[in-house]
Amino acid sequence: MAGTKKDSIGKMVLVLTVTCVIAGICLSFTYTQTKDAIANAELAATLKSVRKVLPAFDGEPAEKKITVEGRERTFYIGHKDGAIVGVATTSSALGYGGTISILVGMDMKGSITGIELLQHKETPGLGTKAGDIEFLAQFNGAMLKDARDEIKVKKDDGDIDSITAATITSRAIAAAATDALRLFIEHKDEVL
Amino acid sequence: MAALTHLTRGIYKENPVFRLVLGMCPVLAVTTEAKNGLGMGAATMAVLLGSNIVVSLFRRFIPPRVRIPVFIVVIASFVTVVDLVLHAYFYELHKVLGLFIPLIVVNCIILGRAEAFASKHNVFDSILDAIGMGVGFMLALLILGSVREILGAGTWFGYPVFGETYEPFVLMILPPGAFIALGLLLGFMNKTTGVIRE
Repeated sequence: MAGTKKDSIGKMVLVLTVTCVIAGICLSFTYTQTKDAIANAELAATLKSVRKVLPAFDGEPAEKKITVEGRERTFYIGHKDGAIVGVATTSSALGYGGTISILVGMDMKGSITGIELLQHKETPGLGTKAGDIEFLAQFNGAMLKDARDEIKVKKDDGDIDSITAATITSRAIAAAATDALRLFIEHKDEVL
Repeated sequence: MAALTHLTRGIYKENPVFRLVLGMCPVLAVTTEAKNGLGMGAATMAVLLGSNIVVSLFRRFIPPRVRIPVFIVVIASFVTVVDLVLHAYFYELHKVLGLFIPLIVVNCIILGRAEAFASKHNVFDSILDAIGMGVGFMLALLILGSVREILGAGTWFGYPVFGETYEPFVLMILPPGAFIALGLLLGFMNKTTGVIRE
């Protein structure tokens, strides 16, 4: 290049190496500084959701991990005055824009005490209404009568009013809720 | 005053979004809500400020032939730092912007300012340039996010602006709405700056 002073290969290598080393040091420093805060933020977010889906309980919920079909599932168990008030677990199903994951709170009888939307990629303005309290509250009290029973939307002869123009999203949440209930019923002994 | 020009240039005359049409990926993708636009704008500005300062400080030591890799390493490091800090202290915002934060690395505005400005000017001017360009980018995202949220959801920063009877124009918060809103805003900017020149 005209006007560009020729630099030796050695200098270029040196500058790039030094840059990368400094960048590496800065990044590892930031990582160690933020690591605990990130873990705390994640935990706080989970606990906040658990509190929303379960009846009031004392202190922190107990955590219990079980392995079902090769997947690790975590249950959060809420105690009040020594008795279990409910358990919550995450569950997911395929929605319109991708996987939807929800947290389902259940009481000992296997009926839903609350659902919280954790993650989704649904259409803004349509599927995102799945996070609305009016929609999710419909699931409260729902339970499975037998092993083959499912929670369904009205279009599929169920009890849940689906969100207008977002039936796929509504179905996904019903399916995820069913999955959580079934998981709890089938593995009650391991969880408690 | 030269210093003042460095600061104001990015906000209006060379606004990265409305005048230079740079960094369109985050501009179109995250502006479904005013809040997201503002957050993304602030994150980008933080990275731009950091990279402009570092590039300007070390501009005499960077051999021209390896300048681009050096700039990219510097920018990528700042982006990672911003990503970690947001994750740790702004958890909710990070959840929404998550995917787009790493993409700040490839935002042309940042490499563009490192190459075109910071590598040729002193630290003070580079800081002014970064603030100007950063504010310009943030304002553009805020405006676009506001327009889309107000029309598409009937709210601004989550607060309802129209009454109960407003039927949201959902298209505006879907991807096509981003192009429509951006096109109209670009047209408006071209029109107004044309008037000023005359």
